This record gives sequence, structure tokens and C-alpha cells, in this order.
Amino acid sequence: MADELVIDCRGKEPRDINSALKTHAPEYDRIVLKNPDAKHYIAAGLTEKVEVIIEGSVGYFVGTMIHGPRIIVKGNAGWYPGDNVTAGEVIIENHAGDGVGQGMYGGTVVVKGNAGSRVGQIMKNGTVIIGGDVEIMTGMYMMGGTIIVLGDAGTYTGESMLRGEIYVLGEVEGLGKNAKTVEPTDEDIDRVWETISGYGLDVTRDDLRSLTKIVPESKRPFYGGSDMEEG
Amino acid sequence: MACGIAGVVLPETGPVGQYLTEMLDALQHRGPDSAGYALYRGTSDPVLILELPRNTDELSEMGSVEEALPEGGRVSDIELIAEDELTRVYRVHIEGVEDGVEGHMELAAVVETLEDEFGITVLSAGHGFEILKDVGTAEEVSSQYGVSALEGTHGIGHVRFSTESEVDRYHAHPFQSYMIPNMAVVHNGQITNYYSIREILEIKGYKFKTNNDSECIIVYIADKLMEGYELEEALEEAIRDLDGPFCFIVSTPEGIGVVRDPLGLRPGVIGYGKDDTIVVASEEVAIRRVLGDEIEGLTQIRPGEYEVFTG
Repeated sequence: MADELVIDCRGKEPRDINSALKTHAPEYDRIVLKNPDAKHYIAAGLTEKVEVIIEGSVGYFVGTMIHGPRIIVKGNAGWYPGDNVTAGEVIIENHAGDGVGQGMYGGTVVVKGNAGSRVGQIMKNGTVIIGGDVEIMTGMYMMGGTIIVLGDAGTYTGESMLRGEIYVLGEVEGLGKNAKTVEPTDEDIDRVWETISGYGLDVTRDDLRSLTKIVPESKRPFYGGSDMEEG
Repeated sequence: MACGIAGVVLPETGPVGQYLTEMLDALQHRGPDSAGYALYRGTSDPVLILELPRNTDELSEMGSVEEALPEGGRVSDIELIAEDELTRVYRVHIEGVEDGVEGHMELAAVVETLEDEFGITVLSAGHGFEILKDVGTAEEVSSQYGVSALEGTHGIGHVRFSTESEVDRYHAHPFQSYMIPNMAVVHNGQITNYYSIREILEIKGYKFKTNNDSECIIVYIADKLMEGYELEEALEEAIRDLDGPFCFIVSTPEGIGVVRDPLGLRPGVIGYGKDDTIVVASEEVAIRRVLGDEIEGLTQIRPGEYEVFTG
């Protein structure tokens, strides 16, 4: 297997970039994408265990539906980075738009800067880590998994969440319906520390002592019916 | 996705048409139906953009325009700027209608006379301001109307994904309010309390040309400005009064203002160029297309916030 392939994205359509990625991913350890120019859908549906370094900003849905690769964006990301990921990593070095990790089933999505609204909405499993602040409705309708925010969170945090947990190190402007705060345990703090270590985020384990943990008030669905089974 | 919006404010008169064309081309995936541009040309000369059926006598129709003008007004130049199988679109330069409140009222009266009495479709009316819009992609409309060659200080543009109203030249964005002729709006989203907002404005005497909710936005903002609000205050009121998912850009002779709905359901990004150029768009891809490596900063508009930029 060869070490590295470089692809210049300028002038190429996302379909062509993704086709090249799929073709060459089995042959290389690392693929570097130059001049992404904020294009959408880069690395969508990639399933090889390859590292993809994107040298610049990307548009919507970077790394959507991946299963296995490690994608590093050396810039900003638009809306929905890491949407519906089942396994692998999407790491955004700067900031991201709305819907980070939307609907993900597994894997990890990291935004080292700030993120927009509805981080981790309807996620079922996996982990979202935000190094900075997030806007409103973090974890909206989440059904599982973990969201860690190292900055401040806006209003309606945990809106209508049914499962999963949200940790916020900064201020929480307001909670959504069916969300409540609980005291994090030492095990929780250890787990958060383990999860974020290795991503070069500016935080110590001691800092995590002031984490706020947010969980569902009730696991009963709002639309009636019987209590949901623990899953 | 539904609709792409873009706005640009240049530090001095420059290729605003080219900027907007490139930005909208980068946003084309957001709306394939129609495209449009509102440009501020850096002058105060009154200009009408008129649509005439192909089978009409141009000179006779332009006589109608002369007739509709206030005393002392006259047509100084006519340019054929686009045509299709059924219609021709003209840029009509007029003299004798000054800029300013009184001139705006005169121009609004001209529009009403042309449309109601002479049956001429007015696509835009303003001082040093024009709207060029049609069915087609951003590139097609720009090419058809020669937008890329037009210089100016600032402008806004739109690619449309129609969700509820017609796909034709008249329902394409930008929309204008004829009460304050030099204003326009481009909008991505839906105003869900459209009928109640429109009803209030109709009771106040405003007329609507379409059933498009974006037209309602510009009439709403124009009404606020006529009541004495500053643009910033009008946008703040809009965040409170308008329901639904939206991000829209309003343009005035002084600059542009952008607003995002309180739940942040439609996107909006601002790019700051190293040369003090300001660009606003639905997506970063449009900002990178025109600023390239000359980006000094980039911010996402927060839910329920607005920004105003003047040249």
C-alpha cells in the first residue's frame, strides 16, 4: 500500500472527487485533497480505513454516511458535517455550521472551533465533540450517543431528547423540553476526558470538574403510548 | 435545500454584476428555477426596466412612458436588453424625476400608471438601481441580461427553488417595493404567517403583484422605513413579526441588511474581504468563489440576528 496520494479538487465536481476517493482509497494510507473550495459532499459514503486530509474549507455534508475513514478538514465546514456516520472520524480543525453529526449511528465527529445550531440532532449513537461554543437546540431529538461541548451552549439545549447525554463545560443558556441537568460522576468525567484526549483540545482533566451533564427528564415518548424499553 | 441568496458590498464602484453572477453560480444547486440580480449602479439616474410583448410598437409604448411621467420628465434613452419568443425587455432611462422622497413618490406613481392604465409590465423602477431577473440558471440570466458587465457599488442576487408559487420572470427574486423604489429583497425560506402579515399591509393600502411571500417581506420592510424606522430597527421588528424558516437580504441605496430566523433554520454566512469587500451568502462556497484567498474573516449569522453593511 502506498503512503499518500494528492488530488487537486479545483475545477472538479464533488461526484468526481468522491469517485477518485473511492477508487484510490484501497491503495493508499492517506489521501490529501487540495483546493476543496468549500465544495459539498466531500468523502460521502467512503468505507475504507483511509485517512483523508482536506486542505481547506468544505461545504455541506462532509463525510456523510462514512463507515471507517478518518477525515480531517483543515478549515471550516458548512452544515451537517458527519451526517449519518456509522463508523470512523470526521475532524474539523476550525468552525462548522449547523447540524454537526446529525443522525449519526456511530463514530466520532470533532469540531475544534465553534458550531452552529442543532448539533447532534436525532443522533442515535456515537460521539460529537465541540471545542468551542454551540448555538441553539444542541441534541434536539437525540436518541443516543454523547455530545461534549467545551464552550457555551445556547437555548433549548437537549430539546426533546429521548436518550443519550450532553456535557457542557461552559454556560448553558437554557434547556429544552424533556432535558434536565444532573451532577456528573467521576466515571463520567473520566469517560469525557478519555474521549476528548488525543484531539489537541485546550482543556485539562481538572477543568472537566465543572461540566454540566444533561440527560432526558423522561424516556417516555411525548406522542403518547407506553414507556420505551431501555435500549 | 431551497433557494440561494447572495449579497455584496464593494469598497468602491466595481464589478458587482460579475461578483453576484459568480456567487449565484456557486449556489446554483440550491435553486434551478430562476435567477435574479438587484444592482446599485452608483448613480442617481432614474431607470425603468420594462417588459413589452414582442408584437407591440416599441415607439408607441415608449410614448406611453412619456405620458406617464410627471411634468418635466422625459425618456432620454432606451436599450433593448433581452428578448424571448413572446417578450422584449427594455432599460428605459428617464430624466426629470429626482432622487429623494418626492422623486420616489413620483416614480411609484409612474409605475402604477404604466401598469394600471397602459398595461406595461414594470420589472423594476429606481434611481441608479435595477432588477434583472428571469427563468434560467444564474449564468444564463446573467448572460441574457449582460449582468456580468455591469458595475456598481453593491447588490443582491438569488437562485430560486420554487416551493409554492409560479416559476416565471415575475415570481423570480429579487422583489421590489414600489413605495420605496430603490429597495429589494432576496429570500430563502417560507414566511408561514404570510397571510396575516399581508392582510395588515393591505389594510394599510399596499398593493401586491404576486402571491409570493418574499414580496410580502419587502413591503413589510418598506412600510417600516416609511414609518421612520432605521433599517436595523426594521430588521429587528421583522425577526419578531415574521414566522417560519427564513434568511433574507434587503438592499437599499446605502447598503444591504441580512436577517436569519430565530431558530436558525435557513443558513447565512458573511465573508469579509481583505480589501473591505463584504459578501453575504447562503453558503461559504459562494464566498470562496469570489474572495478566494483574500478572505479576512468568515462568520455564520446567528439565529435571530441581523447585520447591516453600508458602502
